[in-house]
Amino acid sequence: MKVKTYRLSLVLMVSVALISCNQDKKPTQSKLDKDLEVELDTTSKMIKFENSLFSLPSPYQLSILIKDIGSDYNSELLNPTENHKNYTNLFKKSVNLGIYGADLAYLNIYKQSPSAISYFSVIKILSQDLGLSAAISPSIMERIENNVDNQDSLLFIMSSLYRDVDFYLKENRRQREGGLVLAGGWIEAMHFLTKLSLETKNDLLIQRVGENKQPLENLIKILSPYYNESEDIKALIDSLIDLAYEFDAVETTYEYKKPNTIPESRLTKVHSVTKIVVSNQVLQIIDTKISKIRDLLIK
Amino acid sequence: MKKLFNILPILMIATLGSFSSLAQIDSTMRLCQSHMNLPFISDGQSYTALLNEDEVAEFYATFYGGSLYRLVAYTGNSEGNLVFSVYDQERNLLFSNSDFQNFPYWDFEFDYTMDCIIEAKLDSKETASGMAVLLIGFKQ
Repeated sequence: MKVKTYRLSLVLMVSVALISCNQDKKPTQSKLDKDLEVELDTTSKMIKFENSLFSLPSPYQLSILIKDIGSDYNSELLNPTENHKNYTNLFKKSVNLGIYGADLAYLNIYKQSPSAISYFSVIKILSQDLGLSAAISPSIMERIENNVDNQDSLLFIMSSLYRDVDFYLKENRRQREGGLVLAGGWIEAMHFLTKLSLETKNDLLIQRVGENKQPLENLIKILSPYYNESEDIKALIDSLIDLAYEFDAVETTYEYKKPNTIPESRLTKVHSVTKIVVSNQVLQIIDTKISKIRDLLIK
Repeated sequence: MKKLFNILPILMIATLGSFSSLAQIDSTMRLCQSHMNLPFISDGQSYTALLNEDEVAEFYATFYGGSLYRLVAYTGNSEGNLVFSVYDQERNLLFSNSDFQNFPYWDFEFDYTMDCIIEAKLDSKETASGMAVLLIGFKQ
């Protein structure tokens, strides 16, 4: 456990050091330094860690799981739409675009159409404020408005819209905002998950909290190139690292099993076994820290 | 002034090259999207990496147990130029599309949640450099 924690801190420290010193003469680099060097690829306009890219699970998937286990709709879990007026800088607008996106997913899963329309309006405002109009065609907006009552279509359109926004931000050298949108979506989905895990004590929900250990590390790696760009980002990354220390107490075992590929169905069934144990104490600490981060982001 | 005339063509070529690569990646993205339709829902992200010759891009992803996922991967405007392989956290190979004529998309059903590494590289017989685009979707 300690080794992993050390590694995580080291990744961040080295990344930050490399970015802040990138104008200086480079001393002879160790293998580790070289592996972690942040490379700006000007053709693809992607920030890459030696050609490595990091993914986060969709907040939509967590909302679907929450509904599937029979949890009732709870509007108090959401960030009130009125708050959007408080978001005046790029950091807050980007992060809350992700948060409201996860909220809209939750509303959509629970078929709360009137509220979904309000949340969609706020998403539209934040997108315009962030200069994302070029990424969101008027026809997409129209399709969303026409499909507010159609759960499957709206889920598909909204997730495609967030993917288009992500692509547009990356293409236009705005990966920082793209990372913040992802961060907002992940924090909000984890907020739903931890609150409902504590409330219901449902094993599947608790296990899913623990399964977000790697996505959290991915999120830190996505954001770390921007550590020195603002106090807000610095504080967010620091708090995510602090949270990652708690995730080190999640017990994980893994056993490889041979997968089964069915070529005619273009399908591979993966049978390897992952077991995850999250104690109640660890769950409570994770919940407290997630709430603390979220409170700072939505205020 | 003479210097400006020397630089101008270089700038123009660079600008045109940039527009051309943007148009290229847009059309590759559209190809990927054509295989990411309902019942599959995008994870809300797009993954792209510029690859040369034998370079490898790595994509780190977590797949939830009990879910069906689709991976779509392309480079350029035609099928079969990109090899993608999925490994588990211990680097055991779970799948490679090189066993299936570099087929551009594949579905994966996970019994348990897994942290995986997806590697993408160009098929050197087909192309020397290009932008790899990968999309991940899940079935509701």
